Amino acid sequence: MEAVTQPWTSAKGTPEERQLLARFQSGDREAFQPLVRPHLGSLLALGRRLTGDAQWAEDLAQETLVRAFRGLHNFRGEASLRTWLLRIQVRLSREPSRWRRSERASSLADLDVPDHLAQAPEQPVLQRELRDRLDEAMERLPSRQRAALHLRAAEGMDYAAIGSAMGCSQGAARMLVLAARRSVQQRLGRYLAP
Amino acid sequence: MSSPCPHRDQVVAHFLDGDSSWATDAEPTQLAEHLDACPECRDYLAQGRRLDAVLAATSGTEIDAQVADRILAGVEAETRDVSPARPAWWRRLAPRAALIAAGFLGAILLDPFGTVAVAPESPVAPRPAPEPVVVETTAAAKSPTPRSGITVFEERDRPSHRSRNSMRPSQTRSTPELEELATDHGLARRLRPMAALRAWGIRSPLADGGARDAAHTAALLRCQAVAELARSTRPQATSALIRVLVREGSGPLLDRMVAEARRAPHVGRRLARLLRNGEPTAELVTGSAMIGGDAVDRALRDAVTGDIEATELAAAAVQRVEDRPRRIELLLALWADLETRGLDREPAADIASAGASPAEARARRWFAGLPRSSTGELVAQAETTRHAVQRRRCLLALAARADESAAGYLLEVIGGRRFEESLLAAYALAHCPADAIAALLGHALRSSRRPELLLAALVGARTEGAAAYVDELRLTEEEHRFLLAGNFDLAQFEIAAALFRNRHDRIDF
Repeated sequence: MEAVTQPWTSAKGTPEERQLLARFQSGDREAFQPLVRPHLGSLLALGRRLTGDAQWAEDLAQETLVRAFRGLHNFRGEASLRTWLLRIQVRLSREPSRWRRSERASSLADLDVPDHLAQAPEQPVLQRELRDRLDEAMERLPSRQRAALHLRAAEGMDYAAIGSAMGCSQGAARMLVLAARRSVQQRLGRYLAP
Repeated sequence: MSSPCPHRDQVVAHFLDGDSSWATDAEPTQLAEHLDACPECRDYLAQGRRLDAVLAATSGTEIDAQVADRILAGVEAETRDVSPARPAWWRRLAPRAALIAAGFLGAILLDPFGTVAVAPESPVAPRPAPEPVVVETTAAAKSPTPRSGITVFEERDRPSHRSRNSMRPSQTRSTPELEELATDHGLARRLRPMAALRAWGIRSPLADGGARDAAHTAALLRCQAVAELARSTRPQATSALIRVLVREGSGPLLDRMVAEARRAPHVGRRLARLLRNGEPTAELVTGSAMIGGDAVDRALRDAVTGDIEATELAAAAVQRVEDRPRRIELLLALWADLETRGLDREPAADIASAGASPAEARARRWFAGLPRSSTGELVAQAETTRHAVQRRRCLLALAARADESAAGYLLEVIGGRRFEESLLAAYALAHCPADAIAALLGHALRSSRRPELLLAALVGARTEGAAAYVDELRLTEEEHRFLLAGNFDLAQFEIAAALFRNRHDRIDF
């Protein structure tokens, strides 16, 4: 059986990305948004996994980009831009006071109860159940394992890139991913049966 | 329990994660051979593939354009005063001027670039890089909560971007948060302790065998909404709370929600205030009527008086809740208001008056729809009230309920001294199920002061054997048919009682 390897973005980035980076580092601030916009989805997705809250994920992503803006002129390109951004985000996530702008919407005091929530969205019951179980299992992981598994499965990053994003060695990243999978697979059990 | 295969992690690392850090060159081949021979590893690998696929599909790396614009606009606002081309060491120089003067020039020369440096992506363990430096500016801080390291900026009245100091999102952006709560896990995590779920009468969604269908999830969401809203003292919370209650159907869940709302004293106070100030909405009337309370009921009564539609709303809402305190008092009060204000003179098309006044016909319909426990409450109300008119209403309400559990009380009233009340009590008995009262009334006939009323009740209920009593009267054919038809309204019942009183020759009571 052939090993499965998922392609990962070249550390040097696409030509367009390199061009935008060069423009930005030359002082063209307008180049920043098109440069980082393609990576915003990844930041938000990881942010949701890290914070468990969609609103906080936005807060975290915004602060990540602010930090990136200030530090990007010295970005050397040894790692991919996305890895670099995710690295900032992972480190920031441990210091909520630096990025949390809004209160978590755990209270519904100011919120309308939309009509559509009187009946849950129509999805196949099994799919919805699997997704719910998966979210639950991920939430119960330690945050570093959760982040590592997310980067592996959702972003397709290899151990080296994960280690780079999380500020640890490749070996440590491998351990985090495997441990996370073990826990989640154990909890999901029959839901993952082929 | 057997331990897992020791090669499992290696298999997954290689075949799923593409790990190529081999201890020996032969390792990949050996792993492939092992995989062919080990069903446990094959299953584990297959599960891992599926897990990764589901994670990839559900992690949502796509982004809504509006969200992206909002975030980027926020970044733009916060970096407006930052030039991308300015070297970091230049930005750091000003705050460190004192250090230079004090002779710390060497420290700056050693670390001129305080920026993030990410190690190259290689198997070699990288040195953790320092954080990017955020420099404090001297601009006047307009942030209500200034923090060190924040670049302040001029506040703008542009709702299109998310500023650092922006409050919680507008009320219309409720969907993401509520969608998050729309998972069993999200709700269960918030309903702490788990006993709270059991208190709501809901099985935990995390327990094996618990129902996890869409209706169950929606019920959990509504419970959570009510619990949160009842705790909040914000005015909008009470309005939202009412909205959730009004939309909930009848049943144990609604009862539980209403009880939760009733426990919060600020909810009742606010409802009473809202009812007194201006024209109440249908939602407010309905929600207030469900929750109740002394102050709320007084305000509710004042609010709906003069408005038949609002009165009907309140009465209907009262019926929806199983355990609603002072329900009978409120309905009797609403009935009294209808009668005394003379508003309900013309019967509505859907009200079957059957000889009763329109107000009476409406009210009897209210009482007919109440939960079973209301019969006892009505009896208690009738026994304790000192007002004859109120007792009359209670007896008519009991007639509307047709509940044989009130028979004992009704028999006592029939034997009382007030003929009108005796008549009404007998009339109420006539509406009870025939088989429930037949033996009871037959026994009571022997000692009753008013046997004609009991006979009229037996005939009115069309009990078995009642026809024998009718045959012993001196009646015309029409009168005979009339009595045997039964199901009398009040006026007809009086006639029936009179026939039994005046036309008997040989009835052996």
